[in-house]
Amino acid sequence: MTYGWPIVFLMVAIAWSLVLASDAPGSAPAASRELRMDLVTKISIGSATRAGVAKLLGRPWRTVHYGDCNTVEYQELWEYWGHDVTGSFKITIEFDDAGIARVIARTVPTGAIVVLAAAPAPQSSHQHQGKEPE
Amino acid sequence: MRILGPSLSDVLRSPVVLLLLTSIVPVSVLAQECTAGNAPHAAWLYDVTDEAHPRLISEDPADPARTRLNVPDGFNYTWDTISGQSPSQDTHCGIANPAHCRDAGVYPPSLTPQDPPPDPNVQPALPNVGKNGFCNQGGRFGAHSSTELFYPPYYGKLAIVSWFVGGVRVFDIRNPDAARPIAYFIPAPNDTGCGPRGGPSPGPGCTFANTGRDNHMVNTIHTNNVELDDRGYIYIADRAGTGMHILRLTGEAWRAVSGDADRGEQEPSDDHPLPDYPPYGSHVPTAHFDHTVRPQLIPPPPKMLCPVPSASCTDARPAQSAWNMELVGYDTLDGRSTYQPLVVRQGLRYIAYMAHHAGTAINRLTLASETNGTSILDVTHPAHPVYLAHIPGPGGSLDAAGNQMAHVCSGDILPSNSPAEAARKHGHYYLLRSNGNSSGSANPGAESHQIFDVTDPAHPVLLTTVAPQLTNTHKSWWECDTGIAFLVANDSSLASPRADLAPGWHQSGSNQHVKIYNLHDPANPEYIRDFGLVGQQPNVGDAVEGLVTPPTGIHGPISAGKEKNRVYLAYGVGSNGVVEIVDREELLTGCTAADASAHCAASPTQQEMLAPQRGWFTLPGLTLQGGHTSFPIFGEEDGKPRNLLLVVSED
Repeated sequence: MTYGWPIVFLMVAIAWSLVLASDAPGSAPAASRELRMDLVTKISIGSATRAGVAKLLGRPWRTVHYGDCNTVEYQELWEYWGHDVTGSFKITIEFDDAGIARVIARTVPTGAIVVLAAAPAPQSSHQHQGKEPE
Repeated sequence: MRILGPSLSDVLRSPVVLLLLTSIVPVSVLAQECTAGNAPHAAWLYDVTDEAHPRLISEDPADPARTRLNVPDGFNYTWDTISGQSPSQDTHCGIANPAHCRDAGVYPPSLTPQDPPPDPNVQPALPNVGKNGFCNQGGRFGAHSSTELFYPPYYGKLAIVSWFVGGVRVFDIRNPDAARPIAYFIPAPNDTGCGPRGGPSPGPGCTFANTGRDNHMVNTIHTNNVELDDRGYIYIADRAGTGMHILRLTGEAWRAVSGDADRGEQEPSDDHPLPDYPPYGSHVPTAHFDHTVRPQLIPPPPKMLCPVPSASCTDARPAQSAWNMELVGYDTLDGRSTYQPLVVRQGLRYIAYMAHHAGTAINRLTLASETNGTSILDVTHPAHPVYLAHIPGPGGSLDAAGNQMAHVCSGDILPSNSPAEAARKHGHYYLLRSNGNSSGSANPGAESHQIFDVTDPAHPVLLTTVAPQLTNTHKSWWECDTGIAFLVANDSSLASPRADLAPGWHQSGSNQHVKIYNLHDPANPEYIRDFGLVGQQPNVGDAVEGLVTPPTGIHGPISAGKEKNRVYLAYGVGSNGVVEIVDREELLTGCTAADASAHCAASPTQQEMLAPQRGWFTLPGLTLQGGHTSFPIFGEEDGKPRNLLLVVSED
């Protein structure tokens, strides 16, 4: 079976688009599904748990847990990548020591960031300050 | 539950509004580090020539932390105009004279800690953006850690300290009574993205959006730790996921360590012997201090992302900025938050072991999401680092994950008890890393210290777990020439019986003390004893040292090795700081002495805790400062011994 040049060109173009797409920011977090902002707004700040957020948004692109002994900020952050007509952006969710979402923020490639929602910090219960297990 | 404001929740439902909010709220007003009551965590020089009577030197009466090894908040670099407060008040700004804080570019005075962020629908006034300061970068501002390699050309000449949003700061300590700033480097936030294959790419940045101290999200660099290699390159690691920067000294900072000689950096070669100073060997260089009065330098202000603030450009963060330093190389580390850089010479190659905080990110080599562990790079050519491997961290709870500390020893330097052992280790390199960090009472016993064979750094192989079932592992030290390892951890009382189980130790703050092993044969760890500050042992006597009961946990020990016979232990991390000086030999042999108690190793008596101690002291400001790092500098001045300690508190 033979193909005409236009068909071959089209197949090559499709193949290349897939290759290039694999390097595009939006496609890098292969572990997570496409981020939907309407789902982000359903996160109930101050009560949503890690499991609840994961169920809603899927696995985050990137996380961190600092494990500080000297805590001055929330220790656990989850980040998701998303994109819309304006381009790519990040959604960052911060969790307290009990695993409750406390802050959601959005960052765009220029670094501009805005807090979308936040709940007051709970009383500190950081494990380094706590008693040893009985 | 409390959200931003009653009208906001509905507004937030609209993605369009989200977009608008993003576009109208400037970075510069979203965070505030200089909230009232924050301590100026800094670095200090102590004269410990008389170990029983350590003495703070290089004091600056105008500095709130009483030290010349400090970085003022504002870019005009004067304490007086920034804080307008007396040195006795251990705060940067906010309490004594908030108006001065605002002059430094800090936020609306009504913004108090723990308040929710301002309503993003309201465009806040831009308070003196032109008079910027580190206060309004939003992230943590203050010291964190110093270099720990006894690299002779810099030893006793420079103090190199990581400073979170202040980048890395270098001080000239040749005249230790009149230390002065001499260089800095502040990386730019990586806003151009973490590409899926490791390089910058269009899209969201590597730098973590992170909280300031008041629920305000910021997106700025946090230089966490700094270390040297034996060529003199300086490596900094970013807590906010911005990656690894490789730096070198220039200008006056380079002349301070080299005279006016050419750079003359050490190149990879078989002709160069492996370093024999700690932690690789016991031959500590001698610093030569002088009395030369050098001018106090005023560091130039950093470059700004918005050189001229305007309505359309309000980003108040520093751009990449350098003074007597320059960038040589960079790697994103796949956007993983990094605690410590360690660079060792393995044969003809220089290999960087980047120790990560807990978390997850995508490995550029496999494109798989992996828990943060240890990134390994070939930095033989520092301008072109090559990412070799990532050893994932432990799975399971994020609380128990991360591998924040790394040490590497050559099997040819580690001592051997037999020719067979020496032959088995010949040509091999071993990575010791903490495994897990803060499981604490939430997940006891899930942590450990591990050893990998990294002879082929692209293909590390797990060799053994030194101490399983630990909690709160952290900043270890490994003497390569003796094999002695000082591991920071705590034992869980839930652990099953084992020879090195030492439950019941007491600590305030971080639940950590020291577990000491001989790892000369990394495959077969030999337990020696547990140790800490007097009052931390399971059976507390009538003495409790330090500022609180029980004494604050240790953060990290540094051994000066066999020759100097001293170990320096910093307790308290960021508050209630204590530094203890210990006789190394008595520490290591105390529990094998003929008169040692039956349970000396795991549960020593008070006398057995006191026996190796040669001195201890608390830090300026008492409870406000902690002992994060205590780096010894052995030297001479006017022909007489003069020994110093560089002590750093974590902001």
